[in-house]
Amino acid sequence: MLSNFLKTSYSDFFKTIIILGLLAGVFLNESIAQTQILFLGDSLSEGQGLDEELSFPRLVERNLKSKNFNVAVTNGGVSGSTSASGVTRLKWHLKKKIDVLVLELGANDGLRGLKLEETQKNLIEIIKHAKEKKVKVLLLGLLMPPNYGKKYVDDFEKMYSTIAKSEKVPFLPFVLNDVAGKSELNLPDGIHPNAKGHEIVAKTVTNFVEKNL
Amino acid sequence: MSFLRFFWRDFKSDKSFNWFFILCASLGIIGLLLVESFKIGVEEKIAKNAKNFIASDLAVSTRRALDQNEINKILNYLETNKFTYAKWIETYSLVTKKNTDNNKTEAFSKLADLNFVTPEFPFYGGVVLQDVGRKGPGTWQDLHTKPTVWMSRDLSWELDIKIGDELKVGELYFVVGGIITEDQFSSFRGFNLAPKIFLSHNFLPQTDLIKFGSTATFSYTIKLPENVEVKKIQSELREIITDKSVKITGAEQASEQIARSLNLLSDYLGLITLLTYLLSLVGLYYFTQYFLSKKLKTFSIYKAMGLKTSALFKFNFLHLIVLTISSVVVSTSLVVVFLPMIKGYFSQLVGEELLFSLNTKAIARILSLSLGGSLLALGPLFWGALQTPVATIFQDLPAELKRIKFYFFLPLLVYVIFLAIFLSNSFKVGLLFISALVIIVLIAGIIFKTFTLFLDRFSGHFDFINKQAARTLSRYFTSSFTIFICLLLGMTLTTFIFQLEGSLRQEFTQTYGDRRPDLFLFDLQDTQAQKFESLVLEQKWNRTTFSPMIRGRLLKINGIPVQKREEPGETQTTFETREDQNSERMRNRGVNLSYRSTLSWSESIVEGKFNGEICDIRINPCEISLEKSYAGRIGANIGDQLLFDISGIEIQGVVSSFRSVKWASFEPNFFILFQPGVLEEAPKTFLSSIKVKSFEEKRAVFSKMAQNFPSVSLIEVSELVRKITTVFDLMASAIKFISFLSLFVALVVLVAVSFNHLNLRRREMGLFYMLGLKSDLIKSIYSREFSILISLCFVLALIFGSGLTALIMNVIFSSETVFKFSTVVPVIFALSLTLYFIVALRVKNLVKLKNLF
Repeated sequence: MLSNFLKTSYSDFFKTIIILGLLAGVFLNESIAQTQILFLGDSLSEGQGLDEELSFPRLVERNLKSKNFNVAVTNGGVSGSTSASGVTRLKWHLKKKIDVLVLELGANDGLRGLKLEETQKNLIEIIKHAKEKKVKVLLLGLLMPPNYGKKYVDDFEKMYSTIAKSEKVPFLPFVLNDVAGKSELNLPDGIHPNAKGHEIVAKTVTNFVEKNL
Repeated sequence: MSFLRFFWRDFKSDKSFNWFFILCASLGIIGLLLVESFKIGVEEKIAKNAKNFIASDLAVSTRRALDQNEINKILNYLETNKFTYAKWIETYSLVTKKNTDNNKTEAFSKLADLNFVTPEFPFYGGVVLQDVGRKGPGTWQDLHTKPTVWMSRDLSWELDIKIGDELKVGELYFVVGGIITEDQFSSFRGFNLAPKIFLSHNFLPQTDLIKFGSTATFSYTIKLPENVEVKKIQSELREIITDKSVKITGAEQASEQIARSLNLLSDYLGLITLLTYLLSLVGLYYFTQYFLSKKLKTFSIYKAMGLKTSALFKFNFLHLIVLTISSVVVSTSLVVVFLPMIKGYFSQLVGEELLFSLNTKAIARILSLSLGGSLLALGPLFWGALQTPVATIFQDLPAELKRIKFYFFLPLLVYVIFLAIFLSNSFKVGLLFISALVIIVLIAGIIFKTFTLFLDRFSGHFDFINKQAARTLSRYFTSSFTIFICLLLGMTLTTFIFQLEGSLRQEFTQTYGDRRPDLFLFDLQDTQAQKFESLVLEQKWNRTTFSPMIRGRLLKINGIPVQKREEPGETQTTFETREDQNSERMRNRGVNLSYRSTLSWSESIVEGKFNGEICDIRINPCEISLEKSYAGRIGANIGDQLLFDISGIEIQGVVSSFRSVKWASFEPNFFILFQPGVLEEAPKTFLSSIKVKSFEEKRAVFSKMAQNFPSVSLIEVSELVRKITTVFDLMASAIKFISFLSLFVALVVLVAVSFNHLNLRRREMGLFYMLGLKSDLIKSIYSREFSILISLCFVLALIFGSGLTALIMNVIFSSETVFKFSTVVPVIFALSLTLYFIVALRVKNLVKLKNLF
């Protein structure tokens, strides 16, 4: 009788566990699907010269989904944008729920030779604003081409690591690693990656985002 | 008798006709030659400018560093062919004024467009240096002997630098050797991201700027010997360098791009060419008609001698060909001899070097055009004349020319339509123009018929002279109608030429002169807008525009996606040429949108209705106004639903109107305008433009903006605007000159037509005389008849000519018509009056003859 009772109880218990497990799975799945990632960037994020579906933020979304991460990516890339527009644009995107902000700004500041103190201030402001809204920030770093002069190039590189350190945000030092300077991976303008280049950038960024989700 | 001998005898017997034909045809052809030579002159000038832009005949350029193998191939090719070349490397970098301050304050850096060139540069074009003058080919040695820079004036203002100061470029200090006030290499190229600096290629390694990862444009500029064909060299180089990302650009391609911006004026000149020619053709038609009416008996005699009609037609066909070729030869000789003389005079008149140039291609084109016109317009007349029966020989009265059926002239109509399309480079312009002329003839026909019916009915109430004049008009309807149509068309076309000239001059030179901005500002942030507005008020700057700009991406039209997909690996084949690449980018890079409650002065609605009221997106989608040509490119119609992605948020709108934009206004304008109420909160930047009163104010704007808004880009456009408007001014002056030429041709042709008409009435005059009318009375009757015709044509020509101008300006040039009646009315009145006096004199002479036949 006891054994029957135990059998029945164990059976019900396991059934309950399975049901609870399934419910938890559904719940967890729901939670992951709600992970909204915003890429706030410039022409690189926008995928200049390409169909937006081939831009690296879209490819990152595809890669993460193939790894069973239920994420939804918003591509907030705007060609030619500088860090000065960052906070306004972030506020626009925060009208809906955002969980993770992948910040890819500053390249146009550098290409236009703007003062790096200003760029640094703008980027910090964006990060602070995101944090206030409980958004996790991941920072993508960029480098300037050597023709901008050694000092500027060095200062530009340092700026990102300084921000990452002071704001304590995960940081990818160079988003165009293995792509920059290679003509076969860039459009004829020599700056923007082509479709193959975006695939490589997406791979680098996917690994970085995956580690920090 | 051999064919040629007979032809020659017959040809010689028509001396007076031959001379008149050559005179009349030559006038029209001289008009054509001058228009054509001016068009070629302008094209050559543009081509010369294009060479200035690329500083050479041909440029091989790439945005990546060429590998050694490619360099060897290029250099080997150039050296084998003994072509001279220069290297030109363009890159952006931050430049710093050398800090002479002992307090060690931080040096001020600015971005500059660096141009490293070898001593052979440039082969064409140059720069103008402040206090030095023009530095053209062969005068750039100063740049190469020691580290020296020539920098743009804007940059010298921003860095507060002067000649003799030092500037750090990369790792090397250069001395400022010149301040550039004018730069031919940058004209028409669009806006540069930063002001220019020219430096010697010799010192490039010491700057340490170009290495792996650097972004630069590497060019070889090539000078070709005069007799070498650029296209041949281009294709040979393309065989050596197969990578399409390496551009091989001839000056011709650059000139095509520039020519596109001037195509409206060029098309207009094409149309004038046609008008001038049509006018001379009308004159020729009348001369030939007169000649043939006199030669009918001769044709009958030839027939009686046994000559077949077909053989006679061959003689006369050859006659026409010989006369037309002679006219082209005479007019070309006259133009070639007299052109150099008038060239200087007109250049002086318009204050710009007017270039007239002719080539064999143009002469061949005019010859074929003249032959085609002569044969198709006059051929039916000859054919009709040759149908005269042999029995005519036995008539006492002069034989009458057989009336030609209208369908004989259908080939001419097709030919003229073809010419209109060919010369105006547009189906739309050509067909519209010809249709308008046909409609004018139809309406004029109805008016003239009604008018003559009225005269016939009420002539009983008139005095003798008016009664006779009115009855002649109504009773010889066909003859009167023909002369009426010719006079009307001549005067209408003259009105049209003058009205259109006035409107185009206004469009390109005068209207915007005081409104065009001098400075463009972009990337002004939302948060900076208020501060900028305060600065504008404080400094009392004339801010001409302040427009929000929102980046978006057009996703769907009526639910159908619009973006073109590019699959991985297709990049090289997709972007084949610079133009393809630009168009591909236009399609994929997204769009700039704005919103406005009212249209700017440089915009006008051409279809639909503009809605500037605040919309509520929760009730209805907002309305969108599209620039007309953009709407055509994306295939959007009124009522279509467009879906945009505005920074991750989808916004739908419905197209409610199409706008035309006066791009020549140089105001910031947008292809897509939303109704207010939806984009205000979207992330945006502002575009602004400023018109300055003086050179000092311009400098002050640069300085204040650099202090207060270092991140805002400021570009001076006044120099670019000045250069473009100079070209427009030149074209507009040329149009005026050509209009006067057309007027002269019109007068001669109208006189010819009138004389011919009077000659056909000689018998009637004789009859009046026989009936006992006094010479003065006969003169009065014919003068009155002509004055009625001329007055009617005067009024109708002003209406039709102005209407045609409004139609062409509105449909083709998408612009408002500026009616210049104060100019046109006196011109047409003077034309009419001159015509009247000449006709009166001719009547006087004819009446003096007092003969019946």
